[in-house]
Amino acid sequence: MQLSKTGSISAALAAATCTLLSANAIAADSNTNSQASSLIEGWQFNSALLYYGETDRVKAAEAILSARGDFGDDKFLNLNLVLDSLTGASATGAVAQPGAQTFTRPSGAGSYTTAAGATPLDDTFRDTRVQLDASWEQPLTSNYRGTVGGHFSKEYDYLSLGINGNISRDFNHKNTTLSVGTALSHDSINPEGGIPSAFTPMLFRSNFASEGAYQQAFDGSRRTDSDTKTTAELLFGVTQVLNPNWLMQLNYSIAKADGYLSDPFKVLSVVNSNGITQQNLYEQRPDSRTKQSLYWQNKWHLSGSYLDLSYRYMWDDWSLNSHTADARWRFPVAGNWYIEPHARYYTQDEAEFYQPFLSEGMPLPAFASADYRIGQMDAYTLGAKVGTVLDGGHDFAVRLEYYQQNPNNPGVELPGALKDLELFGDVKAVMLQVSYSF
Amino acid sequence: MNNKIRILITTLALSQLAACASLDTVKPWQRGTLAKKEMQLNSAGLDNALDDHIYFSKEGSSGGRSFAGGGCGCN
Amino acid sequence: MKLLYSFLFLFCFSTIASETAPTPAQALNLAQYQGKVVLLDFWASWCGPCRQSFPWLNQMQQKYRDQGLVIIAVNEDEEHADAMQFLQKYPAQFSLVFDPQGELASHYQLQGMPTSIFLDRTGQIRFSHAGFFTAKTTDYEHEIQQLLQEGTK
Repeated sequence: MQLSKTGSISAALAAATCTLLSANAIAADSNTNSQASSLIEGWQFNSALLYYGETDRVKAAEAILSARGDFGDDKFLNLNLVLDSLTGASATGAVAQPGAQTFTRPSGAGSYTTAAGATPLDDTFRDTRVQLDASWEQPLTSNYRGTVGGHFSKEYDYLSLGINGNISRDFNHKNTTLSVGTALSHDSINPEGGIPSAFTPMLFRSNFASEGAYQQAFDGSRRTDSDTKTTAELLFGVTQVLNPNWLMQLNYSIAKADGYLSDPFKVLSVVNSNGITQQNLYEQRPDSRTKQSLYWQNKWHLSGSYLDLSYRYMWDDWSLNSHTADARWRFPVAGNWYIEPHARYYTQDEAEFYQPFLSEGMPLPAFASADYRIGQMDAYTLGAKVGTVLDGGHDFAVRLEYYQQNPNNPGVELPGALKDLELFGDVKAVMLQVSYSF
Repeated sequence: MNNKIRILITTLALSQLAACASLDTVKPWQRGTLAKKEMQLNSAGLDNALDDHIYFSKEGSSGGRSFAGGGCGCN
Repeated sequence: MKLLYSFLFLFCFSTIASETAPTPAQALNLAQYQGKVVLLDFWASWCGPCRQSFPWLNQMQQKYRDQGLVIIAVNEDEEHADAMQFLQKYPAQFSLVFDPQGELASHYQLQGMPTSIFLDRTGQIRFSHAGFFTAKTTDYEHEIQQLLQEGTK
């Protein structure tokens, strides 16, 4: 799902790395529900509908259908189908101004305006995406288990293909499990309007005598029609049973992405000493990124309740370090019902080439981006899930979450008019999900 | 910073090992609770998949999870 | 005289037994199966492969009962209700023993779940398998047949 068109590349990266083992994960959600009657003998299905809405910005709807087929003797086939649809506006990276502004749409055809004092948002983006994942898991020789899988994701201007594999080995009567996983993906982006050359200015039709002259200049500012990105990831994990009610996992992962990592739709504003925008330049990020992470998860059974606590520390060569803490606590209530509150805290440092804007007269850096999503920010999620087991053993649940992002100024002096404008506004979103297993 | 990280990794890894005298902690017939679906590492599988996608699109980080281990330990 | 002592012993034992439930070890009482081939199967409601093993065990018990096969399934569930719920869906046509504290499991030093232990007609442990695999049921059956053929003259 592209939660902003700029998310195309990063979202695909996400999709690729998330499916390192998530195809199995999604489908395996209710695999131990032994008493459920199933639609097809030996198959467990899981489905969910999610609505995501930011106030005044992006809205998305996503539908997932996943299936897990039991082929006997611990052999399983996992299949996953995701459909998502995105509308709404997202921040372009340009700064707010005391007066109204006009911007050219990414395709080069048409323009949109932003009100005085408002954050420039491009609402061009409407897109639908289809994703398919498949994976096969089975025991290898005794105590070894292997998984191999593939991933496909397609939307109008983006294609992502990936493969993944994993081997795990049990020790100590299956109290300890070591696993190694790998994922490779290849993405291609073919945006409408092509891919702009680094730091070329956004052009305006009004500045040209004729449509032809404008089109020629526009095409001249494009480096190419399409570009690619490849990602390779390696994950090492240790899972340990600590007591009959406590399970712990520690993972280390390293991922390297190479190719086109910029967002073809994001710009930076060049402002003068009064904070007034002179022009907007298309951003440029490095063509490689190496990320590493440590992920620690604990699951406890405490007097009938289930507590899941996890923490992830991520660091990369863009200096974008982040901490993520997540807690879910499931309590049984009347009959088969449960309630599960959820809280998540996220904080990240800005990427080293992040700049909220560029200053007129200063030399252009090698790389720069004003995308707040790689800027300094904190984010909070608070929500709850309520669910039950219906007759026939089918799970039904509703989940409601509130997500708020608080971007911060990483210590940049704001010149002139920018001092009085909201440049780092909070983004607030609501998520509503309904899920059903059958 | 890199050295600090290495120390952190090593400490976490060792504390995992040091936390228990033996790693052979639970007998095969005592895994009833661990076999429950709520105790699986991927118990929130669908939710996590949807959330991870959102967070990756809206933030700068991703991934980290895997799902091998735990469970009933059968076969 | 011996008869009297045996009778008195049994009488005492039965009065004691009526006041306290037999331990799993007592309930198992392998001594009574001397001369029979015993298949001890350790199972639990939470054990996935047990859903496949029960129908197969039923089949084996029916097929080889007359030749002297006795299947005893030892349940390891800590909650008796869980075991009963499993049995409603997967009925057992063989003997059941309940071992909620894991005493028998511990005694036999189970290496995994489920575990099947094959005892020959003299009560010796001859084969032991951790796990149940439908791909290996032919091998399991050959082992049963082999033990049944021993000691028949």
